[in-house]
Amino acid sequence: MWNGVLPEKTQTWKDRMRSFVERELVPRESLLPPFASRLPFAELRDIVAGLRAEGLWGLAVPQALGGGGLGFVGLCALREALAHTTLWSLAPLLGTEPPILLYDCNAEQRERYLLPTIRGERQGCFALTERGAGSDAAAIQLRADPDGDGHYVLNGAKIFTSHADEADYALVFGVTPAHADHSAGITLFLVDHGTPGFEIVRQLDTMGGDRPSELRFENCRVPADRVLGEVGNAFTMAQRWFACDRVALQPPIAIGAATRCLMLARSAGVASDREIGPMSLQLDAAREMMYAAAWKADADLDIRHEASMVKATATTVALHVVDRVIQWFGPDGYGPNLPMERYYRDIRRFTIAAGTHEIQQFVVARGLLKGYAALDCVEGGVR
Amino acid sequence: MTTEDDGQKWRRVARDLIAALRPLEESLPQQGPPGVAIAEAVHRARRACGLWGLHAPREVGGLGLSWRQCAVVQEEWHRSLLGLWSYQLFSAGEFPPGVGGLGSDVVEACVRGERRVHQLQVPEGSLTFQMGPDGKMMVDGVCPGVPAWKATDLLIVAQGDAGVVCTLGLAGYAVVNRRGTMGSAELVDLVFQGCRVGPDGVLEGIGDALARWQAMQRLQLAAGAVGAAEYCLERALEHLRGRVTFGKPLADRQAMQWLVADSARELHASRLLVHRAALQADAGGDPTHAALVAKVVATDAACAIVDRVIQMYGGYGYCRDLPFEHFWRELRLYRFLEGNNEELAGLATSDVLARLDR
Ligand SMILES: Cc1cc2nc3c(=O)[nH]c(=O)nc-3n(C[C@H](O)[C@H](O)[C@H](O)COP(=O)(O)OP(=O)(O)OC[C@H]3O[C@@H](n4cnc5c(N)ncnc54)[C@H](O)[C@@H]3O)c2cc1C
Repeated sequence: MWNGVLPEKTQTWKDRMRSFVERELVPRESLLPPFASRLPFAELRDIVAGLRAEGLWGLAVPQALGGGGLGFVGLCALREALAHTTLWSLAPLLGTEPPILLYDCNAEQRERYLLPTIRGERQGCFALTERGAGSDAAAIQLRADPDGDGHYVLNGAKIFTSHADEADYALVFGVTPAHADHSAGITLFLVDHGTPGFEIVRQLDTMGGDRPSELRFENCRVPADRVLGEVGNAFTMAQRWFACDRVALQPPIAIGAATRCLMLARSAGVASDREIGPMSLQLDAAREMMYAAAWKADADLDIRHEASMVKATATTVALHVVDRVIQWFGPDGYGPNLPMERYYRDIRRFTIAAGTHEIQQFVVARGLLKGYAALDCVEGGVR
Repeated sequence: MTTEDDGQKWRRVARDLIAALRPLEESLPQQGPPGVAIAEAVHRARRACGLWGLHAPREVGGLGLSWRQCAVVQEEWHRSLLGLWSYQLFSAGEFPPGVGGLGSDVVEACVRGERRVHQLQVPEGSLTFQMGPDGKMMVDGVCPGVPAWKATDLLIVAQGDAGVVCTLGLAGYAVVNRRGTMGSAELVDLVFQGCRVGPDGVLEGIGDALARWQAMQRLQLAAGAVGAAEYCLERALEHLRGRVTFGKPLADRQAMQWLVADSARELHASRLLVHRAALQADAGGDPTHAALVAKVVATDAACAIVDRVIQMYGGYGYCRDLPFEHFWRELRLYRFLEGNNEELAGLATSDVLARLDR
């Protein structure tokens, strides 16, 4: 059971990440354009080189794959530390720890996608959402039909694919028809950028730095060996990944960002401890939920239920905290000389992207009401 | 005074004008002030249809609308992003009534739109005002974080009952450190260093008149917030009726219904508070307290409502293809303008409790 204390080794790496952030990233924050998450190439190259030199790379990746083996608890800890800079959302920084979905790669895909991604040589993006299918992801329409010649032909469109412009390949969800050995279903494809028929139509401007893309697939032929996992079975495979992301992707960023804002408020003396105290307690509680779930994920237990609780709690608490801190600082909290407004605009998407707040609430309540989740999920969780 | 019909008429004028100008919304920059072309187009259009000098008395060329009528017009005007950045346009054609010392030529120039006058009330102790032996008022100190539009022409900087009129170019008065924000507004710091203002620019005994003027501005912000939130919420209702997920319209989902209901309640309360303050002022009462309360409640509510609208639209709400994230970024400033809401709420506590206790 999670005991409330980070393992020593994890704490050591977290501290190192934190000092890297203070030393290398915070001083570069002013280079971040207001509505994009990118830096001049040379700066980014130096940052990535620095991270590698300090060993701050692939730390959460299993040791069997050449990583540091810190697991989900480690991933949360590192990302919490990373969030002490508004540069947290730069794509290469996300790339230090690749999505676990890729762990399902077969031997050949491993060489082509997983290992280069772990090494930071290649980068993926994730294309599930469509105009008619956001929360209701199973309603996607993108068709992937076998052409009888060892390929699938993709036709359809995706929207809100983050970092598509910087990625080398896309993880694309498409509908495959029924076949002799499987029923119709949703299948996940690894599609290289530059594959004929695969096009980025445009990038969308948002409230924050993420500028997700609209993608178009027109008779895009993808070799059948680029199916990740089993045909027609993508959602079953992705379940665990979704759950782990709900714990380890957004919550640590939300908590780290809000913590930094509270600390800035305290050191600037813009609020009293009577105001800061209650906010800090809420963050502490959310953080405890996050690490407890991450710990269970590391123990290979089912965390679908609490993953939704973690995401719903951490993201809303953090938004509330950052909004208050903006207010405490006055008009300058609303401007770019302090990091709060940027944090707010970036983390605002957390209650929308990767499953909206309402969908998390729904998952939590449904699990309890239907009886497959327990109120006490500290040890057991999903029955 | 004007009649109720006049108020309705100007409300319609504002509604039609905003509808006609709405296509310009698309050319607003994501951040920072709109280009001169848009600003001028909006000014011209407002002048052309007479929507100018709303509160200024008819004798000096204004429309002489009541507080309540001004609020209603401002609600309409805020149904577009154009209304939000041009909030300061309320000052177009206005002047602070009852502030003795502003010459009639200045007043008339303001109403004609040739000059702009703004006020900045600073807390006791932030500036030093001292009458010099030469009969000039010496001002020293710094006012940080002032909306840049306030410092474009005439600015009455007041502390308590006394104030000075600052114009750009006044020796010892500098507008520095211009910086952007997450919205269209820019901020500046005002620096007074050995600034000496001659008798023409020294205003005394203006505390009450300025307080009333600030109440009017707070009420304009509150009314604008109501209009903006109402517009966004109306669009969200349409969206909820049309968007289907998991085989049902979002309108049938309780999670969405609660967002709607919370928003509707907050909007209603805000509107009532705006009108209460306006009616008090129109009846000759002191609207200071009521306007402060309306401003805090309505601007906080508008941010919360538009945030829910973003949520109801999902990913689309967060993107610039729809105007809501921009509305939110603009409205966020309203929680600071004419006083930080948290501080204002603190100031209001005694009065509010006293009223509740009656
Ligand atoms: C910045 C950003 C980056 C993104 N990045 C990616 C990415 O990289 N890859 C990707 O595939 N997608 C991405 N997304 C898409 C994101 O996952 C979707 O926006 C999200 O799933 C919501 O879908 P939607 O936008 O279609 O909203 P909808 O599903 O239409 O939802 C609109 C509103 O209705 C609510 N709602 C929907 N159904 C129900 C229901 N049954 N009961 C109650 N309420 C309901 C939602 O909670 C929401 O408030 C991104 C989105 C954003 C904004």
